[in-house]
Amino acid sequence: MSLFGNRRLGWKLAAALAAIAGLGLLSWAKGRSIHPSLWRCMAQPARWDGAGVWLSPALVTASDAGGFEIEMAGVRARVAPAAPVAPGETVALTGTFTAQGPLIRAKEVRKVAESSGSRTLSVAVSIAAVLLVLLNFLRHFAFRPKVAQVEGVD
Amino acid sequence: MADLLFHFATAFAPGQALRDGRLRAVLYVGVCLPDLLYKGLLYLGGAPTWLCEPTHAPLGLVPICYAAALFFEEEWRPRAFGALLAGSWLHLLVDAGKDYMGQGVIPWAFPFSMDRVELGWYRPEHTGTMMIAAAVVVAVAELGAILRGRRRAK
Repeated sequence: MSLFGNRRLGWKLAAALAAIAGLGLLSWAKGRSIHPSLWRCMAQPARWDGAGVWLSPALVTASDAGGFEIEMAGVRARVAPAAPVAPGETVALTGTFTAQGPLIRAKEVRKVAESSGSRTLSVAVSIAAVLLVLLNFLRHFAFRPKVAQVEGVD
Repeated sequence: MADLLFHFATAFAPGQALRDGRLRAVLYVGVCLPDLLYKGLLYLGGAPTWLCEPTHAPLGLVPICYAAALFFEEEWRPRAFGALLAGSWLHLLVDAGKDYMGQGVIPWAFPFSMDRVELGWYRPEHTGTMMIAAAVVVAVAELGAILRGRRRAK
């Protein structure tokens, strides 16, 4: 039986879709303990104590000599040690979440320089590119039903 | 992140070597496919991030491209599968060039491992430059194709 043949096409498609769904669930099950999001760490500090985090983009809301405070999706957290960041700036950081505090011990902090304007432009250009790709695809593969031609009866 | 125009440009230039316009059209869809699926699941489907990760895994794309190929005419399916997969893997190669602060981008051995790789060549703030470079590549490739077409016509 050919992998691409018409025999048992429904079963082949069902198997492929089941594999896709299974891989998605497997990825979710294995991956959700990797780099937990900030709100999960703050909601269950004991569970995520010692977990490696990677947070981006995080808005700096306060900064002092001991560290700074970030906000992501309405959740705030303290980060130490201090970094050359100021309130209003957006950063990406990696580190370890500590339940005591709770606190994030930053390993690397990087300012995110991309402005919202350039981000909007990037999205707009991407959407335009996809639309052109899909239009080109439809140009080659659109279903064009032939008008039925009936032999005339004298 | 590389926007879809950049991804398209990476397929457009080498795609000129394909004489079959239909195969090129499928290749272009393939190079956009990982982000179309990822963003679609994430923003339209509200799916968790990790559930979407197989769309950016080399083996995760195999059943996805296979399922998509089954919607083509029977004799065209192997070629459609090959073009979709080649385009998708090209997308992953470009994404692997990102700088994600050492956290990795592409789960290269999924589903056998959740380890991710990155090359760290470009950051999100490089998107503007990459868009310009992509537009230049597309323009040069298209000009080359037009000139080759005129030479053949003569």
